[in-house]
Amino acid sequence: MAVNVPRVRAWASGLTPFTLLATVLAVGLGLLAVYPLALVVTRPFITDGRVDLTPVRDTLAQPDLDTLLWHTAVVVGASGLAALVVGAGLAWLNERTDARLGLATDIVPLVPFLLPPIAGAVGWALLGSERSGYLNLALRPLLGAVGIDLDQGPINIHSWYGLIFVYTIYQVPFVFMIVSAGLRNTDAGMEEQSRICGAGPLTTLRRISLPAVRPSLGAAGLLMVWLGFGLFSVPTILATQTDIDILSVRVVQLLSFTYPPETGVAIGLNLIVMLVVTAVWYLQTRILRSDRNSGIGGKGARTRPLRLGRWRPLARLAVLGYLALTSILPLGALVLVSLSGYWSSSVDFGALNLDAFRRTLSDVTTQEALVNSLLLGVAGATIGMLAAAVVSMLVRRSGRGAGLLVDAAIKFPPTLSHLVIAVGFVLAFSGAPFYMGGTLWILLLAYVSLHMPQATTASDAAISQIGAELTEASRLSGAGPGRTFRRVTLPLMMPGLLAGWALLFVTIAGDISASAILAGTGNEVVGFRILEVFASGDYAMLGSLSIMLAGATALVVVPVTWYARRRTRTGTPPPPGGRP
Amino acid sequence: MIRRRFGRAASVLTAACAALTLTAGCGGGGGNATAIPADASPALKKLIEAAQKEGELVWYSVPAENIAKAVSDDFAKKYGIKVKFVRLTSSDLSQRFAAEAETGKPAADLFVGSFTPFVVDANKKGWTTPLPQAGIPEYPGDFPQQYLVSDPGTAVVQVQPSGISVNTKETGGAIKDWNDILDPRWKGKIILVDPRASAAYTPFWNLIIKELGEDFLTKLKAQNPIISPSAAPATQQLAAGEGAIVMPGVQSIIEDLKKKGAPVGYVQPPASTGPEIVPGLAAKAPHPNAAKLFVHYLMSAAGNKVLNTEPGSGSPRDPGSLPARYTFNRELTGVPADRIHSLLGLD
Repeated sequence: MAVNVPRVRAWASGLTPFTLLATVLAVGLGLLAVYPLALVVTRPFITDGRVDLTPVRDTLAQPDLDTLLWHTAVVVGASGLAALVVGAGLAWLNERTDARLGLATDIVPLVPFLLPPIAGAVGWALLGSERSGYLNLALRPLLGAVGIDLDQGPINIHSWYGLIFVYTIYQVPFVFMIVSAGLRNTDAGMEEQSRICGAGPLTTLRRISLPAVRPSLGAAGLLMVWLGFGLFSVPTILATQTDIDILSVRVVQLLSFTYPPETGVAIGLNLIVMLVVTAVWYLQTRILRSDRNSGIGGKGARTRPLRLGRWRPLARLAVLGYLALTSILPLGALVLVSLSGYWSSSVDFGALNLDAFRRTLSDVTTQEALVNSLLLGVAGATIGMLAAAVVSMLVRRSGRGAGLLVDAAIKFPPTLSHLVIAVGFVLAFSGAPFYMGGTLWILLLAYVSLHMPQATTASDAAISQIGAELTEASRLSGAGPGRTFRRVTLPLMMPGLLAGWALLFVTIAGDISASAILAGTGNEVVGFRILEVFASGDYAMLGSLSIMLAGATALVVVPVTWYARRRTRTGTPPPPGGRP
Repeated sequence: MIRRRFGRAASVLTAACAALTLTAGCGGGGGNATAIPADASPALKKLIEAAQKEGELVWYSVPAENIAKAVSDDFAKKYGIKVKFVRLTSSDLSQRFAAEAETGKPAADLFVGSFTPFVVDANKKGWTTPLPQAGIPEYPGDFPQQYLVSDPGTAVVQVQPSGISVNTKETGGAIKDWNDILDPRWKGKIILVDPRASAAYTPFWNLIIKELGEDFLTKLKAQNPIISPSAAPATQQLAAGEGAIVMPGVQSIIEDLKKKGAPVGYVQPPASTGPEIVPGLAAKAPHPNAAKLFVHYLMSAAGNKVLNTEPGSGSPRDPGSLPARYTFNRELTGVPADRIHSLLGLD
């Protein structure tokens, strides 16, 4: 009975201006995702007013469909699992133990993510190519000294392990951010009690900590699958050379090889991805809905972090090692290629010069592109996260049915190749009556819509941890749903939302996929410049441009992360009538 | 609290709006004092005046950024018309131009891109106007007849012949013609640019089959080539010594790396083909007269020279700039792409 009371109340207060606004917003976002897509997707399936299933048959007739799916599943699955373990491990060290190194540990997992995937993949190709990879060039003399003589290797990044490794680096930040926010929000007191009762660290982890962050892990898992299937630059650059067949690469080949593009088959392949994402999404909603999640109670007590004792230096070393391996190495490779002018197997340190950086800095178009990208990143991430928070709250309150439908409408379309969706946005918004073609507005709309799954996954996880007792208390004190959202729900979600904001900002500021079709003379963005530079074969400028983008995004992400951390440290604002 | 946040979002939007109005193009803006050439025919004078009234030109370019910029700047200086361009790959250009044309509000006045089936299709769908019907003064004038394409009524203004890129440290002078790369010395050292990446590679492999037979592809496959997704990373790999040969090679990328001191070189076998660049006038161009004037300029002796100054691009007006035995794409359609991919072991 006690469960039913708030539900009835929710129904009764259902039609306030706030809920109405929230509903309009959610439906609007759903339409924004579905409408451009419908313009592209329905076409291959409808010939002369009749449903035509030829694309489905063609999809099933794709050469080596089983190899394609198997290879993709192995890479996405293995990297997703690795990212869950690494990301959650880093989050736990950072939030619950005395191994943290101040702000540095908050940012370590994010640094490699600041490089757009195309630059990261190039960085790793520069490091780990068999003959002339910088790492191999450095390692071979060392191995030679101990009697192992090689003319190539020992590392080959164009391989299964290389590909899975680079995929993992791009997935870890999401797990880390979401799980960190989850851990920050859950009461560490329970873990302390468990320890006091004599349970070992492993038992505490299994029985207390893991169940507490289950919503976060579920959300992260969904994102892993979604992002893993979508990653395109990394497999193009690293997998083509090794006979590893990756779905996103095949889809883009289908779209770009012939004219007219084989959109039907491309969508057919994407539908398979959608099935997988649906399955994972269903699992995640089950996790979010289960009542066993621990939430934020009304009490704000802070506990001491777990003392690692003699393991502490080792844990810190692991964190720093991760930073060196995933950030310093690829960034270093890009800096080196920028300074050398091209990728060379013998680095002549006397001939290094700043020419590429000078060319990048003096190019007016690049300056405009950088400003535009940062503005779009800030605007897109802010709009995206606020909208996501409202949608998550609405979906949570409305239960099954309509809420889930809207949620699905927002989350599923972006599983299709972004190239297809970008064409849909041109068809929908470039001409009458919107005339947004060639403006920043069409990019903003596309970015927000394409990255909504990322935003809502973060906000779903953030909201699921807020115990019902606080919102009920607010309602019982006479606050309407709008005020409750503003004063209770939103502030409590803030660490999770800020984490999501930071990732959304970085993704949007460095977007390449949608920009290839939507950016132009009036709306240059950095991702598009990077594509141009890559196509002309200028790795030096690709390096300097990516490093500048990484630097500029870091200037935004670092303060936001610091603020999010400080906010949780000082404690979230107490609910009306609650204890400080 | 929430008001503050929305307020912030709103100010960001305002800033984005401001940036939107501030963003300018890439090409040079010209002064408006440029005179109309004295020797221009009355029809050309009229076109120049109409184009100057429009004042602006937007075009999509497959030729590299430095070339597109040189042409834009020269045109802007000559006619006092502001020029903006977007540099795109051939397949991105088709997708974008097609989508924009369908909305009835194209952003570009014309494209200058590779002659692919898209160019024919765009004309069939009415998205482009054939050059002979566009009312370009004196079309085609003294432009070499064999470079005019009757279907769909356009002209090849630039040829980018394909060749072989080599690492000079690894190969010395050993590579002179296509057949040389089958030498067992190069096993595992040939970087093959993935022909599945773009339809633009199909005529090239047709030429190789026509010249050397399907056997060449089978033997090339037996050389265990390294597959690279496109010419750009392939050439960087070449410079670093990951491989000794890139096939097919793009000269403009090689010249750029050579300038920076990379140990690379370009070999032009006499028998060749390559991307052929044609203009396509948007039927609903926002600046139709500027577009027509631009085509006139690209086909003129002076304009065509600027378009083809960089090494790696051949001018139809200068036969000396082309390989000895150049074959047009239109004559190279016998073997379908699937067959080529399977001969190379890429399916």
